[in-house]
Amino acid sequence: MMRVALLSKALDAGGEYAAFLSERTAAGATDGAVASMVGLVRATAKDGSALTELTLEHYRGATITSMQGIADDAAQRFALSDLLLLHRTGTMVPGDAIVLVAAAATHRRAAFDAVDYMMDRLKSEAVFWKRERGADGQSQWIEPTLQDNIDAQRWIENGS
Amino acid sequence: MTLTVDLCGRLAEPLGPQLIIDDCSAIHCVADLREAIASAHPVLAAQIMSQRVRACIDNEIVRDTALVGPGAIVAFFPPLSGG
Repeated sequence: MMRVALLSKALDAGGEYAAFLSERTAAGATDGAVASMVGLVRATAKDGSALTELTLEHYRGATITSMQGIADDAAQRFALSDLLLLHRTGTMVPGDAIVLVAAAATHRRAAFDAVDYMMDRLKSEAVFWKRERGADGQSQWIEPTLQDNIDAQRWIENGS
Repeated sequence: MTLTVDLCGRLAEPLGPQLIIDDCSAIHCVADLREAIASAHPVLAAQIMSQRVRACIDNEIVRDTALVGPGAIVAFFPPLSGG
């Protein structure tokens, strides 16, 4: 049962992943692979300076709609039996989990590719605005990098 | 009719997260709304007229030709940061 959620409180990535995995290993399960990815708040900015917090702003229903659209596309594109997409909003500190994506499939390639696909699209299309605050108290808005857009584009170039 | 417009991300910095448009008589579509905001709030003009800033009506990103109907929940999105 595909689960997509936007969380305003701490994301227990380990607990959520364990629950997802337990459904795959229960009696009668037929999956052969589970792949996952956890995104964490980094302690440094791109210029190497220290970060004290990261804030992700979202907007009403548009954010969860964008997440659901990405998950739906992944489910349609890859041969998955289940997927999990959990994303934080609000203020976090270095080490906090921002996002957990997991995919279950009969074969590993579909699971790997689905996680890669969802992360690439989340990084460029999900409705979030990211602001980093440094140790000096100054904050700055972050936009997708050229690499983020290239990563998302390759799924279009690779066909449907 | 008044219209409430939500400003997201960095767009909220100059004037806060919401604008109230008191006179909507000349606003039919998103392009009209951009011009009305730019005219009334010069501090936002450059950003709100930028095509990198996208409009959202009722939780869907729309083109500038999209109609702004009564009761619509309208927002402007600066470039998304992604997750």
